[in-house]
Amino acid sequence: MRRRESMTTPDNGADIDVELPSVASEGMVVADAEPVPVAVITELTATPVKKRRWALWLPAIWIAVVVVSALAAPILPIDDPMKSDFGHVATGPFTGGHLLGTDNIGRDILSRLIWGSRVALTVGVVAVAVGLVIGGALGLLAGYYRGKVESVLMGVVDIMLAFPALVLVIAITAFLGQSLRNVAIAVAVVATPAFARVARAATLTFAQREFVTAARGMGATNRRILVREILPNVILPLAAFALVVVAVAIVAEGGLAFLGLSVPAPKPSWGSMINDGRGKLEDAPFISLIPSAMMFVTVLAFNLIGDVFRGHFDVREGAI
Amino acid sequence: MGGLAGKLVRLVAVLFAISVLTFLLTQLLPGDPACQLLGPQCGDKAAVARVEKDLELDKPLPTQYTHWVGGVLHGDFGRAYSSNQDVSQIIEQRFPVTLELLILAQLFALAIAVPVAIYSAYRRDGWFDRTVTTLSFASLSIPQFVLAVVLVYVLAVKFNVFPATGLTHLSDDLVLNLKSMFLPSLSLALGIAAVYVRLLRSDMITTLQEDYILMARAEGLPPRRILLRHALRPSSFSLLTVAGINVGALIGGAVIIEYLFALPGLGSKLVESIFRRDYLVVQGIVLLVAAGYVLVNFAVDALYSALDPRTRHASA
Repeated sequence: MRRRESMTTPDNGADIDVELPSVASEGMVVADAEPVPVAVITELTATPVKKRRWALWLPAIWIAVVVVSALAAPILPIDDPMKSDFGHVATGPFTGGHLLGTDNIGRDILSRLIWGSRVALTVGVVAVAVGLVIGGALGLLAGYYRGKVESVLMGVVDIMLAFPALVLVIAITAFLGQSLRNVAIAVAVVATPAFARVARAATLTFAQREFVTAARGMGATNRRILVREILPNVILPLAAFALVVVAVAIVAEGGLAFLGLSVPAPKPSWGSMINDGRGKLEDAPFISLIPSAMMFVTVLAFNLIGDVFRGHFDVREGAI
Repeated sequence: MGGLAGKLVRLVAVLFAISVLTFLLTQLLPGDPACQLLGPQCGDKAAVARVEKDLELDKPLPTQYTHWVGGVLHGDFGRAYSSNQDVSQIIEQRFPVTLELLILAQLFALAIAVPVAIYSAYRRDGWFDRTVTTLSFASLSIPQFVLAVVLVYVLAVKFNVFPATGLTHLSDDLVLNLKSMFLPSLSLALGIAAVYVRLLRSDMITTLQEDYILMARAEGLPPRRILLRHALRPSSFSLLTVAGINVGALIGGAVIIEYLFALPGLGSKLVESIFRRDYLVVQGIVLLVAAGYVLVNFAVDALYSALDPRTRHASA
């Protein structure tokens, strides 16, 4: 009988799901899967929610562990992430009092991972918060007022999305200078148009609904309709999208750090840790592979949670 | 109703906006660009003035912009200050490498994705399909450079099958060239292959429920023929669009991948020029990349309405 449930076809509408976010590998690409009216409807979340409980709890626990250790980094009993232990250079995990070993100049890998997670999480959260607020507001206005507001705003969004995301992030960071703040700004600049797209699509579907007409009939102002009627509906799909964008932002920060364009040198970041270990792949592969695994698992965790949420609140862009 | 003309006007407008943005982007550079170029000689007022005159940095911004764009339209991107080489020449040298990388990555991705997706859709919810669904979700979460490092570790360091870095040029030796391009393009391909698998699989599943497929099966056509001849084409439209959109993701990824594998393409040059503050090179490459991306998507859009007659009337 279970089997039956997972056979839900796209035709009955139950599991229709627009191919919106979910891609983490690179860029905000997926946010512009818009102009495909016919066939983008997919049913990626055909698996019933019950079966996927673990897909929510496991990643949630992982993220909680990462967040708590990042917050508690200054008081945790870990080594200084920038101090070398010259007695143990590039030693493997569980040796010389270093739980995950040391890197090519003897710095504690566990400590660098934890301090590096502060960078990744800060960029993820700040960039997404900025993108969510600004992009969300712009998308809401464009989707509600239509007409000129919409064409101008969406024109700008289209142009922003015309730049390959990572190239834009690299260029902005390079020109603003390397600091945590600037990396977050650069990622936010790239994330904002994607949020605007999603918010607009969601607004479009709700602006036509009966409860909006009813509110207007009862004399509600535009502002009231936007804030009290539409926003609460739009915020859920946006939040689901935001989780996925956190993953994208972490990857973007990692890429920048890998190129040496994120936080400056001795400070730890996952991307720069991976890059640091590249020369030692032969005799000490763990220097690169541990932060690689860390990044993969964290990104996967955000994607899994985002996917579960998305299954619940997704927007049907083609619904109009 | 002027669909194509409207699109063309829009295309030109977007290209114009891109060129302005690219130009302004480099103006964000903190401090004096002439100073950045000179480095330690920055104190030398005469040298600064000379550089500014050379690069026309003393003129107002609109003049600088029109001069630059005027040059670009004639294929003159200016001169790289660090190497005193024409930017257009640098682009000419490096573009083929990036292009080959992007094409190979797309081919790889499609070569992996299409058969896997078809079989997954055909045996829906079977063990193969379930494995593929899980694996493709997981591989969406692997950043390209992380995958690259792992691939280098396994296939170059452990088993020494492929070179870890460097490039043999296509003109020198085809086999060695493909060998040196294998790991970079595979690193780029796997993530987008996962996107393609998910997309094509679900579109195929939808198509396979159509009446004409039932008809074909009733006629006793072999599954292979039904899948490849009847179901694949109508299922591949969104795949085509997304393949176009993914060019942008690929270009972004290519920057890191070229740097990682020391491939002499546009991406590695971009990173190098950013570090050297060689802003005319940065401008040139960013403009070229963004314009290329827009043009590819424009082409895909046009191709799309050619392939699928239904979309020709959709824009009402």
